[in-house]
Amino acid sequence: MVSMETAIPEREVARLSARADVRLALAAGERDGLVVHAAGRDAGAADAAAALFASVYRRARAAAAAHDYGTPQLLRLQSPDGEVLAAGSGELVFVLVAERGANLGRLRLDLLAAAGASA
Amino acid sequence: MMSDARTIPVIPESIFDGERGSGCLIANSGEVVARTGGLPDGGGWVEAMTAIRRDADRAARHFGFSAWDAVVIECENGVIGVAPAPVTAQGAGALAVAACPAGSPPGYVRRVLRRLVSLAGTGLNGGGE
Amino acid sequence: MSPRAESWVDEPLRRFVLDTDVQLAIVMHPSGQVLGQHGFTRAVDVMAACALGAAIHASSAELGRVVDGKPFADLYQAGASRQVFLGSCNTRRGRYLLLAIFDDASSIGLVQLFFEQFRATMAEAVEKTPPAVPLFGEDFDRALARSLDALFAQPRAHEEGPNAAR
Repeated sequence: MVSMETAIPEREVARLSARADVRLALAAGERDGLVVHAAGRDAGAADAAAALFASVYRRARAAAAAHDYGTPQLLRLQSPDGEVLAAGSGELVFVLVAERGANLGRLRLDLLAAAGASA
Repeated sequence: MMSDARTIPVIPESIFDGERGSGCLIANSGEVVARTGGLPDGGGWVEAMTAIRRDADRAARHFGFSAWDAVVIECENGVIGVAPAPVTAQGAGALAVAACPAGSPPGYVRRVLRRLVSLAGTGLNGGGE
Repeated sequence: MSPRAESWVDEPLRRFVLDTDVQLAIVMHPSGQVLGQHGFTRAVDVMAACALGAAIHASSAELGRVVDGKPFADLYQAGASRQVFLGSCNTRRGRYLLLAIFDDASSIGLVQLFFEQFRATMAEAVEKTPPAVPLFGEDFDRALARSLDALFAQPRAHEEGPNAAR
């Protein structure tokens, strides 16, 4: 039996990973960096992505607090090889790994919607 | 670690295209070597920025990215941008940081960061001794 | 630091600590003998951590055999402000344990991720180093004391024995 608590993040991860320009979508515990749900053609890298990018997101939260900027809503890590977007939702952080040249405006909206749905 | 504010070179405000904002360059040592605008003076803020750099370096390295260009953090009350910067002969400019108003477009923040990185590469003049 | 017979663990340990931001780490033999450490400032703390870690590993392994037919593998426990991870890795030279203690600067996800790399770097390091002097060629107390001396660079009267005989 799947509880409502886990169904929503799982549904949102599945929705995010369905886009062609998304290599990997996942929900992870922000504090522990462990995967809750993951999907996408690079799902084999989910454990690493969850641990590494949840940590970056935690650092971003500390940076926002240090600057008195409130809660971070979205983080983007930009690389020549792709982009990573992350958005917190309660104790979870949603992470997207997107192809280079992906429609980032669309992905940003989708990710924020996923985080909002799971809050 | 912070240098005396009177001797820290000032970054030209023109990098913000007339908008509000603040920015700085942080050396590998953790010292703020150039700044503009009202950034916090506390060392905790610098440590938070350098921690982002370390984490981004680690994430890119272990996830298989060749490098990372920038981290942009959209917050409730502002946008923070962080980018690796070239190290100059003085050891400065390892990290460029920009703080922009809430709602600033990501492209604008990237542009400010590129200008900061360029300043780090070419050196800074004026504003101090 | 004086050269140690087990200095081959230094590089795997250094890389693990660098990648995970853990506060404290020990590499030990399952008997509790320390091979390398990071973050500790007192030998007595290392001794205590090794003894406890070895005992926890032994008892959790036995518990696994009883309930699951095979030893439990790695162990993780979260406290109020700190967390503990105890993992084992098998090399050609035998089994070793890694005890890591960390706070919110790291995470169990990171520790698990880089522990897998630690296992690989330990196996590589074993291949690159000549066979070690047996750990227990003499009495355990002397061997343990010598390891601690080397780690903390404080000569001790270990020839006379650190404590009364048991």
